[in-house]
Formats: sequence, structure tokens, C-alpha cells
Amino acid sequence: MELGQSEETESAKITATIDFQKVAESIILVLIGFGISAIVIQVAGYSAVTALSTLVQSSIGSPSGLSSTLWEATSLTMTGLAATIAFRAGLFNIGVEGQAYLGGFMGFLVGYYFSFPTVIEIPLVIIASALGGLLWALIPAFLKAYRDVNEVVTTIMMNYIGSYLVSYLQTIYKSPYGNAAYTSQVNPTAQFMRLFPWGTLDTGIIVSLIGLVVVYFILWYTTIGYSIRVSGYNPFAARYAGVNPKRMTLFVMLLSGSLAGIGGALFTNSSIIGHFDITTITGVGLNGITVSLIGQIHPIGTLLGALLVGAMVASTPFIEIATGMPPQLVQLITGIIVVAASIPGIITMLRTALNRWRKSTQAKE
Amino acid sequence: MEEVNTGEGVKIIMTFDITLIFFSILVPSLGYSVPLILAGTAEVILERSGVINIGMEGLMLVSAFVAAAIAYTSGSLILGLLSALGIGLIFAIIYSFLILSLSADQIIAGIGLYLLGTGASVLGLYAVFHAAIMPFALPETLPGIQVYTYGKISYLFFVSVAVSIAAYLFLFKTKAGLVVRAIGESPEAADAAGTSISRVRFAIIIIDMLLVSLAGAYLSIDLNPRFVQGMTNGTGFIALAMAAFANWNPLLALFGGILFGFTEALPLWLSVVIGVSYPYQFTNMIPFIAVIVVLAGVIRRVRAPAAVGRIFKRT
Repeated sequence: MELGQSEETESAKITATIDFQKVAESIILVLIGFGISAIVIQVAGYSAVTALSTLVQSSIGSPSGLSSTLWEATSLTMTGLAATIAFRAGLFNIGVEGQAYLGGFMGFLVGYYFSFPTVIEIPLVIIASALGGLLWALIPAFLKAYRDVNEVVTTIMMNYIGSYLVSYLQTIYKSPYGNAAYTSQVNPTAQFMRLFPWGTLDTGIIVSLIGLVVVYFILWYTTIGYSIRVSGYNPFAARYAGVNPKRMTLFVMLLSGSLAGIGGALFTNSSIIGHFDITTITGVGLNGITVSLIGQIHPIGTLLGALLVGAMVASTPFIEIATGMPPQLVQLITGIIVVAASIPGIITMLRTALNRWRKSTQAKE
Repeated sequence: MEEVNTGEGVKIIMTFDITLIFFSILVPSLGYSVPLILAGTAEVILERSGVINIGMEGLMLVSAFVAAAIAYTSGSLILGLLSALGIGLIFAIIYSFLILSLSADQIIAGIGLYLLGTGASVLGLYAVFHAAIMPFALPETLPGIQVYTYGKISYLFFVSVAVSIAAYLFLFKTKAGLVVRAIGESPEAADAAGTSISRVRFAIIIIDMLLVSLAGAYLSIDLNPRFVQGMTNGTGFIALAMAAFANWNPLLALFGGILFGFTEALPLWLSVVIGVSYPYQFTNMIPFIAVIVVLAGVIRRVRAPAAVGRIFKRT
């Protein structure tokens, strides 16, 4: 707590308090994202009004829709936290996507081979999936820490390798029924239990919320969390303060990979899915990165970002039916939001621009 | 040539035809190397000026789509190519505005442009063709030199080689190139010497994006006669990795382009010509594994321009 108090005077980047300017910034980012997307949608010859009203109605307009939104947000929160903890340390772990594939597949394997009672099975699924994600972060982590290889490049390469690996592995466990390209179902005890009869939401959301609290606690109430934040803010200051950059890189990348892996299992072992399919799990990690950036790389912001992106992903099939637009629409909108999120201090910038404009109009008068 | 079917679905081609083995890998290797050389050289010049562009994959996809769509609807390949370059120019203006005027984070903006480009290319596909795939292939592709029956070496291959050599001469043999390198090493010193950092970087970003969009257009109107969702398949990211592999030297980027072009051509060659019946997923991993192995091997011996990815603000 002492650390927390002394930080108050430091830059807003290191403080734990909820910063209303940052909240307003996130809202502006989202508005920019939707505004520009609406123009693009209209130019492409579709109806932006229909798309937007379908999005709202199908994501929060009914109990089952709301439930789907929360279900999508479950895995996105976890992969978003994985991105958040890495970005906080200044490490761009784009490999969240591949780590989620491997974690999801490990979750499937546990559920496929073992059928212990749920109280043992689910923790086993979580541990295995964390190991899967960790394994996939291992090579980029070591290369970054000991050979200074850019983690952006290596993690992206690992995403491609992971995607090919799991798409091969899933053929080994291919479902015997019909022409399905995905695997057989896991044992029912390995699936997260449904919370309400009228929707897809399951107990996975509890795991996500625990993850949120853990990440929040690590970042703001532990020494290592303090080191993570300082490393991301100013690596030279961190080194001067006695942080071992190699150990820090390894720790953060592996923790991030583990969280991403769990995020993958929250998807595959959920009540509604229960099998591994590379085509449906694709995007869980990349969207997690978006979620983290919308949430200003803050755990609570990550949760809110996950709800927003979750709503978009959940409503995609409905938008596709209503307007004929492809599911990649989500990538377009999130892409624009991320571009807007790359601009630092968007509020300060708008305020300065407004002042300058006011001054120039006053000068004319 | 004699084909032996072992009956287990494994087809072995019994042959000692060296010309077949050589040309059947050489021609596609050079084919795959073109976008890598173009985008890799572009990234080398860009990073030499202290800017990084990790969203190349997104621009490549949009350019590939626009080139194929315009070429298809207008019937003119040249018009398709020019439209793709126009998209490159638009991306250059957007990216410059973001990172030079608004001091945006280059990595995050790059991720955003990648997502945006991927989404926009597919939305465009649906908007123009009302389908998930282009229903018809283009009637023709850009011209090249026909190598017996093994395919063609596109004229754009020679263009990409010339671009690499020109980039080398520009960076290391001209005064303007020296200015670019100085900006990439120490923008503060270059600024103190009276150079406009933003103006130089703006020019370099335009060159970079034009080359990347040329690489994208090549994929859909030259190497393939159509646009396919996600057809770049990591080419933009491999080109990004090539900057470090090439030690930020355009001539080594030329070499790297051919090397990684070879690894991209390898999967199909192994299965069709050599008859390797591994699951295709494993052979398809080769280029990406190669990148990691090569980077792990060379990186200690190279040094990045000091100011890559750093925001420059006059104080």
C-alpha cells in the first residue's frame, strides 16, 4: 500500500486509481471506431443503421442474447488479461492467439482422456491449458530475454505454427459423426456448467473474474507487479531500480501465455462447445489484444472491453443474416478502434485542437 | 520418369531428372520471393529512418483485393495495379498522420492497420462479388518469361531485384540516404543539424507503402489470377522479420527474400514433385519455423537502427 500511495504523484500511467479521463478516452475510441466503420459500411453498399440496430438488439436485447455476449466476454476477458499484463511490462505478446489455440487444445485433451468428478476435472483442465499456453510462449520468451529477438515477430510466427499444429492434431481426434472437421466431444465433467437454462453463459465466467482479481492484485499489490509497471513505463529506470530485465521478460511472457491458454480452454471446454475446432477458436486471442487496448491496458478496462467486443462477436451471425456482411466486419471495426487507441492522450489532443480552433475564430472576429 | 503407386496413398516419382527437380523449385521460389523482396526492402528503408510498420500484412491484403477487383471489373491489369498503389498512398497518408502528427504508438497502430486491412479486404470481397470467394479468375496475369512448362518468372521479379539494388545505392551511396540513416540512429542530432524529421519520414513512409501495395497487387494479379481471403498467409510478417535478418541492408533483404521465397515454395514442391505425404500442416509450417530459427541464429550479430519505433518530439 505504501508503494501505491507514493505513486500518486507519479505519472497517471503508474497509478491504480480509476482515471475518468481514461474512461472518457475509451468511450471516444469506441465512438470513433463505430463512426468510421459506419461510413465504411455505407460506402460498401450496406445499411449501417440495420447493422448497428441488429448489433444492439441481438447482443443485449434478449436474455439469451445477453447471455451469449457474456459468454463471448468470458474467454475474451482472459485473453485480454494476458495481453494486459504483457503490454504493461512493455512486451508486445501478439502470440496470445496461438497460446489460446494450444491452451484450448490441452483443455480438450484433458476432457477427452479423463472423466474425474468436476471438482478435480475442471482444475485439471485449467492447469493443463495454462501449461499449453505457457509452452507456446516459451520460445519467444527465451529468444526475447536471452537473444533480444523482437517478440512481435516471433510470437506472430508461433501463431501460424500453432494454427497449423492444432489443425493437424484435431484431425487425429476427429469426431466420428458426420463430416464434422472438429474433434469429438469432451467428457461432460470437463465442461463448464451452464448457469442459466436460457443461455450459453457458464461457470467459466467465474474463472475469468478470478483471473481479473489475480491480475489486478499482482499488478498493484505486489513488488513484482510494481516492477512490471515500471519496466513498461521506463525500462532504464527499472534496471536502475534493480529489476532483472531477463527474469522479468521470462516471468511476464510465461504468465501472459498461461492466461492466454486458460482463455482458450474457457472457449473449448465451455458448456455450448465442448470440442476443439480451429475455425471457431480463431480470433479469441487477437480480439483479446483489442479488448486490452480498448480498456487502456487496465484489468477493469479489459473486462469492459471484453463485454463490448463480446457483444460484437455474439451479434455477428445476426448481422450477417440481416445485412449480408461477412463475419470479418468485427475485425474491421476493432481495427479502427485499435488504430484510434494508438494515439496517446486523445482527449488532451482534442482539447488542444478545440482551443486552437476557438482562438482562430476569435482572432477572425 | 516412372510413377510408382505403393498402394498406401503414397506416390513416389522415380526420377533422376535434375532439370525437373531444379526448375520445379526454382520458378515458384522466385515467384514467392517477389513480395518478400519488395516488402522486405521497404521495411529495411523504413526502419533505417526509425519507423516500423508491423501492419504490412493488412495493406498487402487490401491491395491484393483492390488490384484483383479493379482488374476484374475494368478488364485492365494496369488499372488494377495502379489502384492498388493508390491504396498504398492512402495508407501512407493515414500512417504518417498517425505517427508523425499525432505521435501514435507505432506497434499498436500497426496492429490496428493489420486488423483493419484484413477486415476491409473481406468486406470488399462481399460488397463487390457478394460471395466469400471471387467467382471467376482473371483471364490473364501480368507478363513474364516462360520457363519451359514450369511456369513463368514475372517481370516484377526483375523489378523487385532492381528496387533492392536501388535501395542499397540510395541508403549507402547517396547524401540523402545518409540523412535517412542519421534520422534512424539519432533523430535529435539530425534535427539539430537542420533536417526536417517529419518530412523525410513522410517521404520514406510513402515509398514503403507503395512497395508493400505493389507486393500485395503482385499476389492477386500476377502470382495468382484471383484474390483469396487471407491469401498473404504471413508474407507481410515474414517480410517484417527479414529486416532484422538482413541486418537492415537492402541487398541482404534481396537474398533473404529469395531464401524465404524458397521456404514458401517448399511445401507444395515437397508434396507434388518429391511426393512427400506428410500432413500438409507440417510442411506448411516450414517458412515460419525457418524465420524463428534464422532469427535466433543471426540476431546477436546484427544491430537495429537506434531510433526504431521511438516517437520523435522536438523539445
